[in-house]
Amino acid sequence: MEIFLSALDTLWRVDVLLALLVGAVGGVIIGAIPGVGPAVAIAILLPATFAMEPIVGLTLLLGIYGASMYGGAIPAILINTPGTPVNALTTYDGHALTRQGQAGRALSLAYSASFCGGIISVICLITLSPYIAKVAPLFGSRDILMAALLGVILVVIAHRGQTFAAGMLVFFGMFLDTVGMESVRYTKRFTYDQAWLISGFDLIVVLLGLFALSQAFVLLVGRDTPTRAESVSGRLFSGMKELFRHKRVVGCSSGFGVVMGIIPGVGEFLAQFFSYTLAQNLSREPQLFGKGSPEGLIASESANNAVPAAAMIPLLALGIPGEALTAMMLSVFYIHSIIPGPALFQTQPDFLVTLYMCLFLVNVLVLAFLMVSTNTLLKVIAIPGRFLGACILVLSFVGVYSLRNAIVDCAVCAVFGLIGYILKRLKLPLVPIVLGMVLGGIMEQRFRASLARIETPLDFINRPVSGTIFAIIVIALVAHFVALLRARNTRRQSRPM
Amino acid sequence: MEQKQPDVVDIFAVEERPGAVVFALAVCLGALVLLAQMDEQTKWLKGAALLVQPRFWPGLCLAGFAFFALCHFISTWTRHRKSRQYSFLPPDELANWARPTEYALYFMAYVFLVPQLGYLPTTLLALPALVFRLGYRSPSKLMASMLVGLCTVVVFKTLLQVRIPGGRWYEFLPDGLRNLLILYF
Repeated sequence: MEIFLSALDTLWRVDVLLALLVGAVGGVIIGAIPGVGPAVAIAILLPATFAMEPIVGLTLLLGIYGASMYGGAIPAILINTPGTPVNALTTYDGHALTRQGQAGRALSLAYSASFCGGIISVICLITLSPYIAKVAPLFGSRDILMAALLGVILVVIAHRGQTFAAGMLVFFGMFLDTVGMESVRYTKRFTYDQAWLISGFDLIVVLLGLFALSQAFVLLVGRDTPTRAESVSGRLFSGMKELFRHKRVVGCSSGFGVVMGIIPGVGEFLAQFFSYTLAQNLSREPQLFGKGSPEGLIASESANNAVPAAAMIPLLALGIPGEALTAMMLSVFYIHSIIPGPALFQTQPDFLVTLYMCLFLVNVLVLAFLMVSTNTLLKVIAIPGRFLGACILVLSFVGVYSLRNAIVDCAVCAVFGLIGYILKRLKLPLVPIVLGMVLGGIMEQRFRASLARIETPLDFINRPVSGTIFAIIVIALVAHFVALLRARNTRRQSRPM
Repeated sequence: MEQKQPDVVDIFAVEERPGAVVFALAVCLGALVLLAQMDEQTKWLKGAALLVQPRFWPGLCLAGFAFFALCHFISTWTRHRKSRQYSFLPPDELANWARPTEYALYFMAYVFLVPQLGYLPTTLLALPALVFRLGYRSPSKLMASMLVGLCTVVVFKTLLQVRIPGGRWYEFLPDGLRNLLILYF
């Protein structure tokens, strides 16, 4: 109770409330603009949050993260263009409903499903917290090493059809993290006798290049497509009632979102994939999926929005980010010398409870904001892409230059921007590079810390936790190869003789 | 217009992209070059075990990078040979890859100008100039770009106080104005 009151006291501060409001409203607007997305916004804002208190900075970033997917549903439903990449599946049924003249119903369902997914996820986070607090201290260096390894492997195998590319990029990210002076023996690694390389590649510089600048380049060299969304009529409050009729879909989809959010390296896409497939299989009207099925829309949106809060679990409990956005947030923890991990639950429980409350309030604020502002938000959808690209280019400068006023950082950022642009053109994933950088650093550190207790390689997995995680790694790999073999057999059988 | 059939597998479908083979080959060669420089760019400590060598971790990362890059190249090459949809070196696509270089240079010019002219003047100059370069000629767009520039400076430098140095020419201004500009703009 004391912790709760202390958290409430923090939450009631003007700066925290302001961050909550700006994050929630800003997140919706950013999500509603196709081509921007939360990764760009968080990457740009990240250095600015370093001057803030950790709870204020994290509230702002979490607000953007949680709210952007709500906003992303608006262009997905109204103009068939997902606001954020994870709203792609929403276009299937959401836009189909719009074409049937039911845009208001589709938006209302999307908002309600997103809200339920978000709230269920926060409830799971709060419910699981006492257990996490008990289990997290059991994690030693070898266990965290294995958990990070599991994250790396899942990032690779989650990119079906692009496994080799994801593997290549994850190892590239891990390699980038090794560049510079290593901290144990103080030897230089791949510095080419360049002073600016001694401190290595800064994660934020790489992030800004890969996510923000590359997106600016994509927009700048692209063409403006005129978009016009009709204003929405009808009651946006009615979705909750309809949602209640599909509570099984909401429950299962949010469950998938929570589980996929907790597992490092998996994220929203697989959560949506599983929940949409399950909803279609369970539905009495599976033929409607893709043609305006409310269940399809609910499955997609509730799974999406259940991920952000759940993704905080591995980050807070083990210090292991599961995807790019939580990897960015890890920097906020580090810059303020708050080390996320087992000790956090014992040393700063009030900080964690405040974060949970913020996550809960973000969902409430966003829903309230959307109910009254949807028609106003339609104006931001119409901002020309190239104009946005110019704005992102200028905003990226703040993010990268304010780190240490180094022109070389900006040059590195520009190079990564060009790399990110080419990867985007080739439709190759960027997230493995970021996770490789973050998880690679954690793995090397934990690997070195483990060495004192290691005599044979088997010692890495002789602890109960590390052994269990190793078993999960083996199962994941076996399941992946079995799925590959099955897919190959199916392709062979379906090939004409 | 026909409504797209609901196949969520579409989201994960991998299509061949122009330039994929040449990119895979370039990455593969890059990984091999880095691997070849291992001896020169990392240290090997005499008498120390393999696992504690400073070379061990970058070596592991580069070995993984080179292995997957090779696998990626082979799979891309195999797919390319089967489909023959694009040429090995598609000139249009390579030109596309080079197109953002202009904006990267623009970005660097902006970076060089900020410490000279100051954050506010450079932003108020650079953003409308870029918007003009992009082909927007209407006064409303140019004004909007100036407004965005002004808001960016006010939010980040004035309110959030991010560390961006004042312009060099601010030094020649009267004391009060100079301090105001250095601190807030």
